[in-house]
Amino acid sequence: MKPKERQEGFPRRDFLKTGLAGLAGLGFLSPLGAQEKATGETPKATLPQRLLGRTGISLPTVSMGVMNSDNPNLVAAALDAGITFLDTAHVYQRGRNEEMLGEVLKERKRGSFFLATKVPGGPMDRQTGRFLPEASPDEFLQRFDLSLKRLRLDYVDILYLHGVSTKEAALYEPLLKAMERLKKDGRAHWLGVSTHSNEPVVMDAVLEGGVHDVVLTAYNFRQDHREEVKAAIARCAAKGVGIIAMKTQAGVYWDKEKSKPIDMRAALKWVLADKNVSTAIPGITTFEQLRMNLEVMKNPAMTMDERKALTPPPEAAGLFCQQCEVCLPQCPHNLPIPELMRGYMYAYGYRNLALAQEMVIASKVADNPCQGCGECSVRCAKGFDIRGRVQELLPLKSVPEGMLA
Amino acid sequence: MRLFRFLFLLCPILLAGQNLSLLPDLPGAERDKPASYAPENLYEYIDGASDLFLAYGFKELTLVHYKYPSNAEVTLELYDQGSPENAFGMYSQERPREGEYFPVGAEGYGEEKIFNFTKGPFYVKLSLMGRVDERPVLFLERIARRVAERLPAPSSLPSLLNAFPQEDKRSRSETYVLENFLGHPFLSRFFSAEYSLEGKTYRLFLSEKGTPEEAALVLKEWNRIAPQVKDLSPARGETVRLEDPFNGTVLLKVLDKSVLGVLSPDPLLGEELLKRFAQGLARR
Repeated sequence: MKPKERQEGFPRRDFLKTGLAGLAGLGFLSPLGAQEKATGETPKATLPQRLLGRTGISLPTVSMGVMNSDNPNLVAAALDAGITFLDTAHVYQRGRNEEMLGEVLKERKRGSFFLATKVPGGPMDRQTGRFLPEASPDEFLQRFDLSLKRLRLDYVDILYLHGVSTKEAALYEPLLKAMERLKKDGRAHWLGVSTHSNEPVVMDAVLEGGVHDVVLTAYNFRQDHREEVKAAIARCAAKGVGIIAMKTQAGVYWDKEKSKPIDMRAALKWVLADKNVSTAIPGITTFEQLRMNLEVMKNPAMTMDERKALTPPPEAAGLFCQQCEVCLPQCPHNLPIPELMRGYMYAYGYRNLALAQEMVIASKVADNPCQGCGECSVRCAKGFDIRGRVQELLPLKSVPEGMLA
Repeated sequence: MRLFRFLFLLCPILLAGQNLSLLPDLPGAERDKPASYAPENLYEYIDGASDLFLAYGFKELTLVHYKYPSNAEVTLELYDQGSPENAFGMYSQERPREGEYFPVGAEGYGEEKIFNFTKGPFYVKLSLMGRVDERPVLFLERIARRVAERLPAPSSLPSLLNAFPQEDKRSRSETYVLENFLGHPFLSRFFSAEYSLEGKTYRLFLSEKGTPEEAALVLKEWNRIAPQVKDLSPARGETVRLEDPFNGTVLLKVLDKSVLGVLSPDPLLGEELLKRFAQGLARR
């Protein structure tokens, strides 16, 4: 789909005035699009901004993750509202996402927006998180060139090595050198890595390597290790590495059934409360979400109700046991609760029943281990209903082995 | 009661496990142990690209590698998107406008060392690492056919796509959007296609709702944010013109349970196109 075409009787200025009428009341709007088109100058910032580390780039505190959007009018509305930073990736929609952005951005002066894209490094051993020998820097550069072509740009503002989770991957020398070459050539102004697992390790690797200017990291209120992530972010920020936050909306729902939505404003405000984060890039797929994000930028302080809204309901404690072992001394039957909770995660999270069954059998628990206990005395640090989950897991013992393979 | 609940919870998991039986054996290749990914951990395999799959009702990914003695390796990814519409929607988001297309499953295409197709609720992706003695896309096409044969679903695209007029339609522009069509939360489950008329782009769209009331509600919701230019009653099947503040001029018709419309740079040409569309829909 191409951006909304100019129509007789519906000139662009009217579009800005009426189309963003709901957003104009927030006091942010100026005819940014019209201004930059007229003069070619970078529009004056009207949204709250933060510096991106040592890059010197000033970004609005909330930017746009484009990965889910196929609507160029939505991207155009975000740009017109002053969200000047867009995030995409080589692999999103197999390139169609970058192509869509190229259609939108060709109408805009290059200095009026910042764009980041992520390029995968190549084949990776998923067990170790390290690049395989087949991860070729030449192919990485070819993928980057294809991204530039799709985007119709001569350079990107930030180029990330996409999706690393280990020090070795973050500092994989052949790809680092390829990226540095692109920076030297002026085709990538700043270099970074993106990560959504093992984030503190990756960030410390970035500090050690001294090459990357930016880290795009998963960061939200629901992460079990959010304090470690926060500390790593602080270390990076102290050394001038710009931090951009993704996965800020923490899954959008508390539950798998998608019946309990998370308070999106509260989730975003939680991230913005960390001043070491330069900008967040939540995905935007509706104009309503765009409006909400603009409101959050204007009023970033969390209210008491919003703080409370980030407390998970008991039935939404999640699936992932953090193996803290706080439970162990509380169970009078000495059940191997962390192992059983991992089994529960495999059964109901990963749906790997065979592995879950193996774990239950290996735990050697009795058929009815909670017999004799009235109310369960275990208080899980994450709020799991331990007794309930054990009871829901144990019937796996009765399923004939091999049936679940 | 807990046993009943366990069995109830077990059923979808067991059903999901049956996707493993859809994986073919390939002559001359050794098959690795399959892996599967659920919505909660799909991002571990495809990073942020998982968000779009999830938005299209993703249920499970079944993944397997086939290794050949020549060291070539084929990766098969079987995405169960839950419905033929969702699978087509995800497929349509990624397919190129121009490319080498093949009649595999409902539709498929190949590029260099990849081959993707859709059939029923499945979106299937094949990729090749290493070298083979023939054009990689033809090598993968043969494998794709073997996979497609095992998928218990009809080899046809969602039938609502047949309602779209063929004349002036841009090739491979058909899509399906499950939610937030055109950036509006009240627009869900829409098929659309692009048309080229006198050098301008028009976008036809169509959604079939459960009841006429549900269809009428779409117009009502849209009218809340988009002023209506002409005061016409949709109940008479007449065209309503709205000025969507973000998407421009929209011409809409509500016909029984169907909501159909066009994003229209020129209202007159758009009306003609919409009329053709409505006539075609009535003939179905």
